[in-house]
Amino acid sequence: MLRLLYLRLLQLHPACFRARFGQEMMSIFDHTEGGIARARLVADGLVSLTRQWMLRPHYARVRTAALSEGGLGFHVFHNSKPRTIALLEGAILTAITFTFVCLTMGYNWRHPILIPIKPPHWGVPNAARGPLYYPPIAEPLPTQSVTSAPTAEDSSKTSLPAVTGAKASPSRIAVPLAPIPLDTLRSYVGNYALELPAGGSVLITLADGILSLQMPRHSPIALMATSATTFSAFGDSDLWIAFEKPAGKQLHIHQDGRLFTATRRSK
Amino acid sequence: MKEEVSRFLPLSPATLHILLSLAGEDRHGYGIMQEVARQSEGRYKLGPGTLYDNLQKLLDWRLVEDLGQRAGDQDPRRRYYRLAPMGRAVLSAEVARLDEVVREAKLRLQAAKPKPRRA
Repeated sequence: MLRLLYLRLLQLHPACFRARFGQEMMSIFDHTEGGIARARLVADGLVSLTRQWMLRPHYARVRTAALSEGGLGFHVFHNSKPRTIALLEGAILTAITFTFVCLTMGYNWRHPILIPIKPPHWGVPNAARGPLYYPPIAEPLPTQSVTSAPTAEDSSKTSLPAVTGAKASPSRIAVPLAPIPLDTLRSYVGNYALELPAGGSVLITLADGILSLQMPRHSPIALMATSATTFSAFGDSDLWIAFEKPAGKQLHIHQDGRLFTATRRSK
Repeated sequence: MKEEVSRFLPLSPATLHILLSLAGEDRHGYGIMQEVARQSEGRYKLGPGTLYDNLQKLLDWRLVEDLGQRAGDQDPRRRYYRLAPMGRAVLSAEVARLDEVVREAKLRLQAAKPKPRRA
């Protein structure tokens, strides 16, 4: 019992001291006879332990240096190798766990759980329904100046002031925009054929006053008006489209800096 | 050399006893402990913790040499230590210093001795 206690005390000594004198101190303990004499050695070991850690700071420096050189930062009580049967059991358990994790990952890869996400529905307030449509503005960025206040005459046509600059160069920036008449939006609806070697088509639809762009086998993308003829894809800042003119035949799709032209096939 | 020796002085009692025990012959740790107990007639007992802490210091100062294990020893864990030439010089200097102290002490004590009263 005392021997085990003394051994534990020695193991708690700084590694340098333990490696240099641990075996000899244990040897002295083994050569000491008598319970009282051995108890004195245990007390001496306790004092030595305190002394080495508290009064010999260079051991801490040696340890720090060893750590900085990539040494291990922990102590082990026994340097003996685990039993062979324990190693074997550990290997089998590791293999079983690894196989189970791989099988689970493989099963989930083949059987994905699809969570349907309902696309947002953009309703138009009843007050806005009628001959004019006020498109939703996701991020009002007043980057373009308004030239003049609306007049009663303008109001009879479009109801809000016109935006300068939008016609000269179709802007992708969302601006507080004039409402677009519902008739104008309706005039854009139709099936457009892409002028690409591979072909393809684009469908423009109107539902609840929202103009949408739909590619084959894709979900419709709501469009946000940035001018009377240009629309930005809602939620995709790199996609915007420009119609030639109301009830025009051509449509230009700008995506990631590329331009695609589509021609109307039918209404 | 003298300056080099004097920087180790004065020696602590434990260090002095360890050097003294190694002055006669090479010894292992347990042997040093027994020799120290014999020299002091059992009044000064050196524990292994104190012994090896001081031995570590003496090895670092190169006053003692580590000879390692000896073949044929009854316990292969034992390592033997030898007094290095520098250690011997330091021990001699310390003994000389203590001799001076003892001489001075004797003189003082003799001078302060009370004179016998006349009847």
